[in-house]
Amino acid sequence: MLWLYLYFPRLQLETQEPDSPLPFGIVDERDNRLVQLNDAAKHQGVTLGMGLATAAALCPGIQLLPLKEAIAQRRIKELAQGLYDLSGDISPDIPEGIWLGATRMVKYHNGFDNYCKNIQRFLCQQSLTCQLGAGPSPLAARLLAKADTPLTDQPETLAQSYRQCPLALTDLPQSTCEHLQRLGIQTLADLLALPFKALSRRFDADLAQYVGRLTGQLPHPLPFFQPPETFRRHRELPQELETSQRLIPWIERLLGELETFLQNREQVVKRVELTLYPREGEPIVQWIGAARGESRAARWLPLVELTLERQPLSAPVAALALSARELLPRPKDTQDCLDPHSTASLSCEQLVDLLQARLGEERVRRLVVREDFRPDKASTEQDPLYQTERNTDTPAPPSLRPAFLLVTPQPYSQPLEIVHGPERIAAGWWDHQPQVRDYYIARNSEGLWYWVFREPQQTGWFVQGYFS
Amino acid sequence: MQSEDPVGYAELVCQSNFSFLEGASHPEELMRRADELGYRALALTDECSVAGVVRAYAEHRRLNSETKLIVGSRMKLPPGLDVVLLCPHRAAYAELCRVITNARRRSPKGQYQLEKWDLKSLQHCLVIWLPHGDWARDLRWGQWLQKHCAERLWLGLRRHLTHREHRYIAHCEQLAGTLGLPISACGEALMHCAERLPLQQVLTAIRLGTTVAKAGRRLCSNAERRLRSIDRVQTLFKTEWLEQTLAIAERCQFDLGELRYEYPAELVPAGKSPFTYLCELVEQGVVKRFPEGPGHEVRATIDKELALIEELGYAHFFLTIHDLVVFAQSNGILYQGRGSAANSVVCYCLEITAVDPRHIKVLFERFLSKERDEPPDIDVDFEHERREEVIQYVYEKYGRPRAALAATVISYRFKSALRDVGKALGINESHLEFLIRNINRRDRDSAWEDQVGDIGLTPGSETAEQLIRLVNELRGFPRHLSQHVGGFVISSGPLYELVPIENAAMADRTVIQWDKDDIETLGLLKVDILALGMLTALRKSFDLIREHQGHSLTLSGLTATMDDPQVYGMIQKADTVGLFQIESRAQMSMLPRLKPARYYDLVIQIAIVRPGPIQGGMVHPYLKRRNGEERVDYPSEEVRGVLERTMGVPIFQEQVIQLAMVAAGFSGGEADQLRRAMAAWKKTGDLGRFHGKLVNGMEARGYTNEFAERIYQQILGFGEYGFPESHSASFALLAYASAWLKHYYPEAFYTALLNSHPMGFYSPSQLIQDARRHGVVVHPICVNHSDRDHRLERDGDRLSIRLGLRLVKGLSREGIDTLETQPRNSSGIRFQQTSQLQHCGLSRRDLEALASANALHTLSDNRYQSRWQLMDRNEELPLFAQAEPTLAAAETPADYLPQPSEFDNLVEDYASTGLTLNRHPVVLLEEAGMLGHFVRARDLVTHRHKAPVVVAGVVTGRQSPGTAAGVTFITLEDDTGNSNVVVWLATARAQKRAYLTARILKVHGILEREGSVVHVIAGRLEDMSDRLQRLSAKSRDFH
Repeated sequence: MLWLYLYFPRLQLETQEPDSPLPFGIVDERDNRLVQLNDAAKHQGVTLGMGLATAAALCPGIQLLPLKEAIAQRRIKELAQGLYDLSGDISPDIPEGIWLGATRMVKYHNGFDNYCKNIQRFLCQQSLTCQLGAGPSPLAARLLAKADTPLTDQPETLAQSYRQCPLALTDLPQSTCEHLQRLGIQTLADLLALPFKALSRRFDADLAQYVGRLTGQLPHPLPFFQPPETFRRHRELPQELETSQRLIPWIERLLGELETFLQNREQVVKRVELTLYPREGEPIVQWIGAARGESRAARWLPLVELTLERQPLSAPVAALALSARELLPRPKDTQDCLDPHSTASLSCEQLVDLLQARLGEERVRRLVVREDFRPDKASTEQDPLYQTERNTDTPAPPSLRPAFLLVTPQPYSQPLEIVHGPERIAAGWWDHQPQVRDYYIARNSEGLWYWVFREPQQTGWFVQGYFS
Repeated sequence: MQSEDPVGYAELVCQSNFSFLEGASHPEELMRRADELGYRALALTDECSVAGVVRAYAEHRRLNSETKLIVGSRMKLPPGLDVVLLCPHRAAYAELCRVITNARRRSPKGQYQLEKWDLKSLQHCLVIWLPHGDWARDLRWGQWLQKHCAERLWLGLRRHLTHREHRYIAHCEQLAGTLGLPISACGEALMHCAERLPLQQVLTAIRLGTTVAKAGRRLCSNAERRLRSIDRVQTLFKTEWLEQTLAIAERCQFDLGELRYEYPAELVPAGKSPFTYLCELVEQGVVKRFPEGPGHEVRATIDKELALIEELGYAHFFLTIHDLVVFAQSNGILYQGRGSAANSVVCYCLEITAVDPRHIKVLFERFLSKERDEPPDIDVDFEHERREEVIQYVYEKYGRPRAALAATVISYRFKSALRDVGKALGINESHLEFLIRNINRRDRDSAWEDQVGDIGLTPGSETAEQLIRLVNELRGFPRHLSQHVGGFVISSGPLYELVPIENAAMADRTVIQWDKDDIETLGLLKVDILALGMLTALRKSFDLIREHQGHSLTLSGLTATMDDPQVYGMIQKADTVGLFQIESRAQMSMLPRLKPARYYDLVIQIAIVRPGPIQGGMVHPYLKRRNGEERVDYPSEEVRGVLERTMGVPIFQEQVIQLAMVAAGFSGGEADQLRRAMAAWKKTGDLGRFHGKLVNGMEARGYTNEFAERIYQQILGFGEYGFPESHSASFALLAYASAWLKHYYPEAFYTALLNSHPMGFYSPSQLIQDARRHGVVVHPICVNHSDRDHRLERDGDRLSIRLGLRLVKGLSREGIDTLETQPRNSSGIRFQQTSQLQHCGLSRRDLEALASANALHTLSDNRYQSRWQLMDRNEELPLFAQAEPTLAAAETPADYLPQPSEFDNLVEDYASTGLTLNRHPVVLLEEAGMLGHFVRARDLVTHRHKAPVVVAGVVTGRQSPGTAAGVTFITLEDDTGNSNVVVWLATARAQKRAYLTARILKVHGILEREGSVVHVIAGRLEDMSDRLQRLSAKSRDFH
């Protein structure tokens, strides 16, 4: 077997800051050590594994980002997806590399060198630093990639190269490496020279397993990457259709296919993509969303209809396509079926879906109470299905507030009778919008209740809101 | 009766920053502000604490304020009861201390738990109840309180202009009406002025573990929780509510100055007064200390001292300390007293100190003084490994209710303030950590304020300005109470009637709520029981010398004369590795210049190499005058009296205080305030207020303005680093004793030092190299010959050191016990074969540690193979080994394990013991041709002053002492000794990488010589660390 390993020594850094001229480093916050560096940082003498204190002293201008495995994980998945065209047997090794089973691919690409070239070309487009290593086992390939030895598929050379590697490059735990070093064992060659039996009497099974897998004596099963499934159907229309009305039956059919597809897999989607192809010009793409995830054609259809209603066709349509990516498992919650009222009324999510399809996504918002004394910051607009987290020790929102608040306070100069107050609010220095105001509840001569304020050392009253 | 005058105000609920992470002003600031606002009274009512009240009291005294200071505390009892207790008189104060103590002792450090019983038991304290706002709950608590504290209960009504406040006021009025309670206004202040609001909000965010922006409505909504002007208070509260504050204040007559401290009675035998008993003990001491009779002069001094002790009533204090040292003596614990009161013939006779008054007369004039109005100061140092015995003795003798440690207030320092404020402002934590590590506070050219750009803040931006302002405000704020290193307060009655006691973090330790300044302010006395490593080393030296050389030495015997020229000769050459106090690089560089030749020179030497005298610019004038290069003159006879012993240059803290008194006319009390302000200067920066008085006072007495300003600058320079002569005197004695032992009994001295580690300045490796350079033979660690500790072995007629097992890293205590108890054969050997070790009960980890330390070198010449053999699991089961004898025999590790090279052995030596007795790494590198040309440490003396030289070695020390701004000392070790490299800031900046990270360094520089001490002023730094790896690779190529 021949394996190829793609090692990305600065994956997160190059994902977040692909070509910054400033010195950048990724810090592992568990021990405040630098784990990835760009060239600018290296030029200033910063090295990997260096502590923050030393790095700070050497390169005061270094920019730091905290290590986040999720970033690497996402990127590796994307890379695996991209590599899928070039190679089978892809096994992501999160967070720093990817294995490729090379044996079959070498033939397919007309030789090892060609195969490697194609892969390197792909990586080049990704602007990623990558060290390639080949080896007779997955572990050997990874080791040689990290050692950055010249790439070859010659078995003898490979065996010789990996034996020369120091133990520190292996994946053995540091404590095991230290144990071995205290016996004078520095390289893999030293380690492999030890009789296996004698070794197993002194070290635990993990070391034996590592050696076995490295040398290929023990199998090393790897999970292979599966590209995510998507739904996509394209239909050429027998004739051009000019109104959305006439498109509906076609769409309904496609939605039916989607429903079958999803139900077979016990899945739902939160969004479908409808593409309409006019005879000429750019295709029109419409996204239709369902906040909770949906599989049923009967639920999707009204949403699609509403969306099409908002945007009449500008040209006859010759073909259409329906696709859905990001398939999600069907939620366990089947409230709809159990709730006797559910057939009669819409759930909150369904209502939001309908409203958004009708009015446009950005025009349906939810008003959320915020932890701020300043009246204009005390509430904020959020996504309609945003869930507020309630802190148990959060004070209850103020109860004496008018139902109608003005976005911008209005000056007020009529006589007013102050009923309650002042309530003094001095807040906001932290976001540079400081306010110092004395609020009063007041009544005018017509008996209308106002919420007014004035600022100390300032003249003039302002109305902030009206009580109903 | 209603008066026409506007009614006054007393603030009865006010918390300082001793309500940690809540109050946003220092007690002093609150006191000052209340005084400025003309309050009738201010009650400091920190939550379950009186830790801040003494500071307010000191400020009150300083201001001569007419605003009365009331002692009180706020307490919360969940669910929903919130009360403030105030002390009308001494009995109420004792009650409050007891309640706080009980509530605190029930909880871990920093918390408290009040119980209903605590409040029910109140007989004296006045109670202000702060209703919660919930009718049912408040009514229940109100009725309960009324039942238990009827005549002493008020409803405290707060107004902070918050949401729905009118309803809260109505609620309170209704409650008061229903319950028939008087209402008293209260401000519930947390700050002394409105400008502290942002800091208060930051503190709240820190307490909640969130950011200010996210803390939202859990913050204060405005700055009303400050001390408000009387006008403002009058518009907010009804007159009758304000009048109640005055009525309450009127009832509070307790003043902290009333506290009287009583010494424990058991120290004095029945029928004797403390003073007569002290005189008896002193007489006994006279006979012992002066066998030929004390002579007139000493006798006169004793009489003078005793008279003073009697007059000031300090006999008990001396008896208490005497009792401690008697305990130490009878248990063979070495000790030494220091401090102004310790340097007295009385203390010499009581054997509190070994400093013979005949050596240093000048000091004894400074004993106690009425004028200076300062409490007697005696610290006693004990062997660091045995101090706990003394502490336990104190607890046992007096009982826990009567003895407790003083607190140390741990305050926000720059870094902690930056970290917490930064987090509260929502600045990314790794950026903050980075800034904190990045800020080189010694690099004075760029202030930290200019470095905020590094955390992504734009210098000058609003956030940056806020950060800077808040950090600077927060610095010096107390964070928590910790235990003082050894200051005990011991009293005749229960301490909890004097001051609350709370739990310390350490199990079985309790601390009082006051620190040493508070104790001083109130004139209470404390006894300092401190730990000193050198005393351990000296005692161990004495034991070894007695055991191996048959000589009985004592500290006082050895320091009776302190005039041995050979010992001073060694000190003058800066051959002082391992000596007490004079072993640091800075001290060493001063020794050949100052050339101490008698005891008092050592006293000066120890005090002069300190940041205080150095920053105050005292060193060079002193050296010049000593060498006769500068004339010594005095502006007056009084100044001559103070400065003559140090050639006109103030070097000791005492001299500065004396100057203020004789030259500027400070009273004793003022001088004491100056001393304390100096001690706290770094924290509070509060010396400026003395400037005018000092300068004017001196000018008025005919001194030039220039002289006065110079003295003031010197006081500033002293800051908290000034060193008192009275302490230096005791230290100098120990320095001399250690030097004497090093000179005459080097084997015993080094062994004792190594056995007292960790202590001092140098690692065991450096001490052992120094010992070998002095011709001491050192034998390696060996399973057959070594014990836990290093010991002396006799080789014919001379002694040598056998290294002990304590050096072996990873070897457990139990493992050492097992080895020590192994039977030895007739020739004193424990083991004859490696395999025997496997069956003696040592764990595998211990076995491996021993093998790697080469402790089996008498059994096998290859430590790799020893370790390999000892790791074998089959060997651990003798039965199994017998059943399968072939298995064990079949192993031939020599076939596959390498033989360690010299370099491998070196690496293993350092890894497993931290030192090597084999060749130095520099020798190996040189032999491999990897270092090029360089001069060895030993040979530097042959080079002339200002000659260009190249030195190389292992970096064993990087020091940026506060004593020398911008300079780093790097110590390079080679096989012949240490080269001292001086790196100036500019050099360091330009070559940061080599400067910061090199483990092996080559330095091209200029040699500078001062007497026999040689420095290399660094020019180019060359990092040679990679040569080690190359050497490692090379050494492997050869095997």
